[in-house]
Amino acid sequence: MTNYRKSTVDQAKFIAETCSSCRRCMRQCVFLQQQGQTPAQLFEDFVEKGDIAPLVPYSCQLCHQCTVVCPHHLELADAFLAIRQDMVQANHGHTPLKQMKGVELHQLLSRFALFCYTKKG
Amino acid sequence: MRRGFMAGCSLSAYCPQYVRQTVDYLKEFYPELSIIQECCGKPLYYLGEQAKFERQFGRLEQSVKNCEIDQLITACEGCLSMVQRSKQFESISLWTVLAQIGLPEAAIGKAKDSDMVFTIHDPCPTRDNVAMQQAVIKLLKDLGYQVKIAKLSGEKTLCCGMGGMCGVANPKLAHEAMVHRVETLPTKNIVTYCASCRSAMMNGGGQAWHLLDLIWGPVVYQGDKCPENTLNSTFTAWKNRYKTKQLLKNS
Ligand code: SF4
Ligand code: SF4
Repeated sequence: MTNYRKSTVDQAKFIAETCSSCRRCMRQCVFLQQQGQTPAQLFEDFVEKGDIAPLVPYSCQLCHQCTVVCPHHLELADAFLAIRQDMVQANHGHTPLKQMKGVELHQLLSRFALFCYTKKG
Repeated sequence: MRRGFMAGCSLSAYCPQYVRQTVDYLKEFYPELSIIQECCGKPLYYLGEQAKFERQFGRLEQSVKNCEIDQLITACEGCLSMVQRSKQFESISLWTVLAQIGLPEAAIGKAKDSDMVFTIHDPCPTRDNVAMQQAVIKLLKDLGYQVKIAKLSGEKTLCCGMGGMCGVANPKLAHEAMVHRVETLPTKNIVTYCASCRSAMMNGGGQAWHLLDLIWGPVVYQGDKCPENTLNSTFTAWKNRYKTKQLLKNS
């Protein structure tokens, strides 16, 4: 099980306690709609259980639309990213999701001289 | 001031020729322009692989330093958001720059007889960059196109569906988000200025053009089909990235 940083848990607690479940963030966010829970419930569950299924934080698009429309400007994306970082830490530097291996390969290829080039003007 | 230009991975994978034309045009104004063809590492940042991201971003920083760049001009909003987050060096979006220096003469008013009405999809990583969003509207109008602003645009823009690596982690959800995004727009003829967003808008059922398609490519009319979705083919995408490098090398 992932050992979450205190700052990650505090962030989650803050959302769980501050979110008034007005659902404004859910109007345009397909991800939150599919979770079927308001951020208050979702993060309360996380704090209570001390864990969350990896697919949940990895499905957030980290787009910050929720923050713009939220009356409390809650930073859901930052909380989901912090959870991802802790999951990676617990998994020896790799994401816990198998389907993400391709992204790591993609990043490796992106470093190849074949595709990189700098020219001082 | 010494400037550099960074096209970014997805734009390089989309249209090598337009990247080259953009560089040639910028060089008319900034003859000392440096070229940075590297990855900003944003995918690693999104994955939560922070240590690897910092190494990748460090490489970019080093290149910017080596080229003695004071201001990096980026054509990708993902790159721009990462560079601005790091606050290590000054950066500006290509679109803001183009609005300042003006479009190439041949492009000004070229679409004034077109019946096309575009809407704009603003990429989400730069939702707070009002100057850039205004610059994009200005550039479209300077080209001669009619623009219908979407309600959910600017600061309130929605993600195209690919954000946060959702396209890889949860492709089904990402596709639903793409379809949703296209449905929230007032027309299916969409202009965007991120190559990855353009691909997503097509996958979501829209006809989508990159701003560079409209600056360097043919005039578009109602009913025209947008360029094909090259980013959907991994092979073409990598081939194009190689081609972009070759074209820039010979610039
Ligand atoms: S950041 Fe995540 S939770 Fe917030 S609107 Fe975007 S996808 Fe939804
Ligand atoms: S908009 Fe803010 S307060 Fe309302 S449900 Fe969403 S997170 Fe909670």
